[in-house]
Amino acid sequence: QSTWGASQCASQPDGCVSKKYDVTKLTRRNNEDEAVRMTIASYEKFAEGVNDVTKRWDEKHEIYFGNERDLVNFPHMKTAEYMPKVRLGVFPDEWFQALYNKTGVTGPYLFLSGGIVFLLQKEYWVIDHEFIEVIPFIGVCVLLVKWFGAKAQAMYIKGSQERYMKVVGTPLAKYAELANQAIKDADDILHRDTAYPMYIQAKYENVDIQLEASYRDRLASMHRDVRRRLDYHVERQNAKRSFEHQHMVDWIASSVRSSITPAQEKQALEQCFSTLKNLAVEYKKEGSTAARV
Amino acid sequence: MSGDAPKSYNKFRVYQPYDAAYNARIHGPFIPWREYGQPRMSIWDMKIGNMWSHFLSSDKSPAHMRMVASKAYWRYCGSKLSRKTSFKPFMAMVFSASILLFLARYKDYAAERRVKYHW
Repeated sequence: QSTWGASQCASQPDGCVSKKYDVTKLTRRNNEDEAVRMTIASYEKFAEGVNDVTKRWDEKHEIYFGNERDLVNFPHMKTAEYMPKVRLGVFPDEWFQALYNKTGVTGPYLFLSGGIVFLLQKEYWVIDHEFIEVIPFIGVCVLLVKWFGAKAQAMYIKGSQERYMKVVGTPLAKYAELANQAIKDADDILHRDTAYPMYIQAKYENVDIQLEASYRDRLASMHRDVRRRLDYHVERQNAKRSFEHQHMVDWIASSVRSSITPAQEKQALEQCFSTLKNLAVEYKKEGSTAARV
Repeated sequence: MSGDAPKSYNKFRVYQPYDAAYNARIHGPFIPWREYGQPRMSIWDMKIGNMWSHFLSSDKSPAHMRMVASKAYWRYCGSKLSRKTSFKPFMAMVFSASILLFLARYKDYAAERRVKYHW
């Protein structure tokens, strides 16, 4: 068929696809609509920006986490959760562990006490008026840590968590949400692209419908003209025949009327009068079945 | 950072004062308290008798001294500090500060020993 109407499209198995125009081969660059060109430019810029980010990420990822990365000797960084252990509040445990093989468990303690005794005995650590400050100083430190250590740690931990969320956590979550929203929006835009062939198809169908309408118009006008011409011939014949009939009837009647002689006319009239008189007599009789007007 | 560059420029090593043997491709992101290249000799493996001669023969240029100081600081940060902190660094600072200041004023304390009458 040369044109596809709406009903014919619907009856096809693949719906609206026009077989005359290959819409799938159309690209957006073939369309010279300026609005479409502008949207294409903006989308390409956006895609360029996104591709820059991904390119940079890929480059850095390939450098830091590529094939040459030695994860056995240089594993991923882990920060400790709690501080390393200390003995007597100030001496780290690793000093005691390092000396364990040489001096055993009590070695460092003996070193400390022996050292203090040595300093006092040789009077390197002179016992003067300020010496006594050492004992309450140590006591106060111990009591402070005992009473307020846990509370202070909890407060500091809470503060550090808040600072982390303010600087890293919340912005990161927000950025992740924005990125996901951007992905969704991009998917929507890409999905909208699938409607472009349909849009072009609709334009073609519009033109097809107009062509069909003009064709039908022309068909109807042709029919009307032909019908008019044929009707004329029919009416002409009818007029001629009716005229002939009328003329013949008039002619016959006038000839008959002219053939009536006066003697015949008079005889007919007398006949009529006598009939009428008889009828009147019968009409006046009671119980008669004569027609009463 | 050396190694942290596109492939065409990898032959030009960028100046970084922390470690000459650091390569981003092998070692990953730079972590200051880690030793790249030769491992550091810990103080527990040194002998006290060799310490003075070792110090005399060491590199005393400003760049190397700066590197040693920064590495020591970062080593303390990386091994001794944590996410859930406590009073221990403060106590360590107080303890070490008191000892060092005592040693700095030792001259005045020592004089007290030689005095005839103690107050």
